[in-house]
Amino acid sequence: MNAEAVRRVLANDDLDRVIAAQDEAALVSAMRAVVDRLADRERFFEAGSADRERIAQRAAVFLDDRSAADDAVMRLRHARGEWRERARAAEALLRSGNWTSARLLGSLAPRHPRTPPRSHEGADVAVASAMVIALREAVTPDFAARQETLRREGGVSFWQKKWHELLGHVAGNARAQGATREGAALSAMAAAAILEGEALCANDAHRALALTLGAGASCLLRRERAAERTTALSALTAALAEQNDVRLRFWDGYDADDVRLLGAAATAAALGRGGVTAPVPGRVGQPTIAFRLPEQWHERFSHVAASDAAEALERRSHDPRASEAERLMAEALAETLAAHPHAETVSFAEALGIEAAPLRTDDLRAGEPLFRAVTRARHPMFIVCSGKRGRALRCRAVANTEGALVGYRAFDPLSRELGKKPLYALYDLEGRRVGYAWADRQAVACFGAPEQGFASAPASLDF
Amino acid sequence: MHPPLVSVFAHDPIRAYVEALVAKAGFAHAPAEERLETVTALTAEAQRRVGFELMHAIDPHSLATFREMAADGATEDELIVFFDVRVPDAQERVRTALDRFGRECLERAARLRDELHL
Repeated sequence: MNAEAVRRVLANDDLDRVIAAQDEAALVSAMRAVVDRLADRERFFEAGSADRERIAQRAAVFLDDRSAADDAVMRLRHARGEWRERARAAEALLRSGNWTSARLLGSLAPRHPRTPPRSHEGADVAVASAMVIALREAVTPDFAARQETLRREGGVSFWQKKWHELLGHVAGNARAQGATREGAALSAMAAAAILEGEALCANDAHRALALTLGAGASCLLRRERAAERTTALSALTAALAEQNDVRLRFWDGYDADDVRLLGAAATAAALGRGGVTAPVPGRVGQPTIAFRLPEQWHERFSHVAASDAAEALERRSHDPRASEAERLMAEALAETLAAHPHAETVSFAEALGIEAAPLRTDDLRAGEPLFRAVTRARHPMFIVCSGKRGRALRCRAVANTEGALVGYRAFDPLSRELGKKPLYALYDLEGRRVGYAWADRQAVACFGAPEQGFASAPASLDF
Repeated sequence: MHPPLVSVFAHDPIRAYVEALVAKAGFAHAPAEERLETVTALTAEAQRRVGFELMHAIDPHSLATFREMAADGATEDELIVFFDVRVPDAQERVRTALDRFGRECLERAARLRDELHL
């Protein structure tokens, strides 16, 4: 009877039954059908009914164990980077019945030679981390509740010292007998698991937890350290990150980003500034702080040129009537807008990468400060109007203090000056000349003629 | 329409703190690119350090609530407002955590400088 012959015989409905069997009884029944087929039809062997039943049972058990164990071993070997997956694989392996807790913990150890740390400190940190996990293993689950119980029954430190000393002795003994630091740590963890089992009447849940922690520890020990730390700054970053990693191991189920998000949100709440966006290494210069733009600023500046908005906000940042928070926001915005390389041709909203408020239009009113606007499509940013003596002028859209588009302005070289100061020519939205504005400071709409004192009366009166 | 969030670079308090720390640790004249990379990475570590401090201050239920909010895509405002309600002494804790982080950073930097004979 060779494997190929058996495979050929089993390529039928009986094999499907074996595969589809959901429990042990169904599997034995399916295997019995296979045994009968091999014995009766194919004459592979001779056996009585009792023997056939025993063969079917053994085959079923073997098949069940092999499939589970092989699968778990494969998962254990391949899940090198994911310690939770290693823990699940280890748990499945343990349930197959052929593995002990100690053997499993050993199997979680590094399988390849680890690059030796450059200093003793690195190894100490790894061992200390493993100890921390082993220590937690000894008092979990329900860590907080147990802490409270222990606090009532004699103090946390007393119990923790006891465990710490004990595990320290285990690790020390292993080291004295020639074990590596990793091996010593794993021995201590195995001891902790056994002690926990005895002390807490370990059940499956406890065992799974122990394996999870052990797998986490093994990954910690297995982690490759930087082969060469080229600079003090990178070493500093790595050292502080490592400290935080050790802290993280006290908090099962939390990953680094959970904690970072918590810290970022807390800081923003406590200090009134900042955001929760993760800083991205390698993308220096990305905005890392955010605040909610005041609504009136959003409406007022959305379509105003970034440079004009920056000047207005800069003035606001020194305005004693503004609150401290408003002054800080104004200052931050002014700096950001002024730094934009195309501040004169992009809008406030474009420079900040935000959605602009809807564009509104309004009438040009005398005495109203004007800001260069950035508009698209329906209301172009530039139009050509008729200047002095019919000369064509390229006029720039302007907005008022409410952010509404009110008209256009242009410097007309042939237009008048007053006191040798140049004036802008002002046009309404229809391109009709309506007035002037000083060209050497914040433009303010003025109607009439300069020599008449810029009459501010309405252009027409209704009687 | 809600007014939008505006992100700017100048007023991130943690980042400003870390930049000052790096300079105080004696790396003010490190190459600009490397220094900025370090500041970015250390800013994340400082945020984590504050996070650990806050995890001790928040009761487990609130902590679970925060994680649910984050997982459900709560807005930045909602995440921030969370602390106003749940952690009255958040400001003091944040400052304490940053202070400790700063001390650790400076101590580590001093040790590294000794080891590397800088």
